Amino acid sequence: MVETATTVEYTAAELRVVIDAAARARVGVSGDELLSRHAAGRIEPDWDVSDLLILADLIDGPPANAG
Amino acid sequence: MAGDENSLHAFRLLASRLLALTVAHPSAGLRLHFLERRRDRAVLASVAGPTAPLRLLDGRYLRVAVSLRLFDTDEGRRLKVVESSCQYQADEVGKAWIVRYDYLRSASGAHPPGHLQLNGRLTAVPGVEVGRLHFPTGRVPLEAVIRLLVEEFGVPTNEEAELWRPVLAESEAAFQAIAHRPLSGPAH
Repeated sequence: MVETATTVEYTAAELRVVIDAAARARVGVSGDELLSRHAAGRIEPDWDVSDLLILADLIDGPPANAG
Repeated sequence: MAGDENSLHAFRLLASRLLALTVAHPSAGLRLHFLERRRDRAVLASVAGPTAPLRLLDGRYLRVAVSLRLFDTDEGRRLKVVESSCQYQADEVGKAWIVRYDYLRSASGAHPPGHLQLNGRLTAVPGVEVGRLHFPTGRVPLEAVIRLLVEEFGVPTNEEAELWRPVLAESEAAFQAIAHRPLSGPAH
């Protein structure tokens, strides 16, 4: 992780660790399970994971020219 | 919004100033969270970490996550807010969340991409867990969330209303002029 006062750079592995820890703490599933459920449209309606899905998109989101 | 890497930093600066004028505790701040050296995308979130909330002046917290991305278009490179989530919560870890506004590009199931969730009960409809409901909202900007916190929840502000109200109004007007407005459900 490379930090400045206004920016942080993570590796994909570091981001996955952050997502995994938060997913386990909040809803009791691994980060991989959370993302698998999200892809299948099976996120429980009251799960507090929106920020984790946004963070995951940093790793796996579409390319910049996808429109 | 015209975009290069500087526009990501400009967005962070604007959001930080809106929060600093209003509800943010002096210790709170925002940072751009990048994947390695890629500078075409970032998540704007707390300096304390990408899943940590910002401390507010009322002792509660606001968790902010905004996905920013630079897209190549016919008019050149443009910055877009792809997804966002703002959650007001009573505790630092978020177990006691109060209200959450999400704008998610790929909302799960048939939930509206832009929606509000509340942690409460419907007294008129016993048995319904309100926290599981997704009330369609369209996109709700940070300025509206700040106003909700101040005007409805009574969160104190760092500056007087005569100063921050026109700043929020101008900033929100600029957002409304270019904002994408999502459907309230799946297109198919």
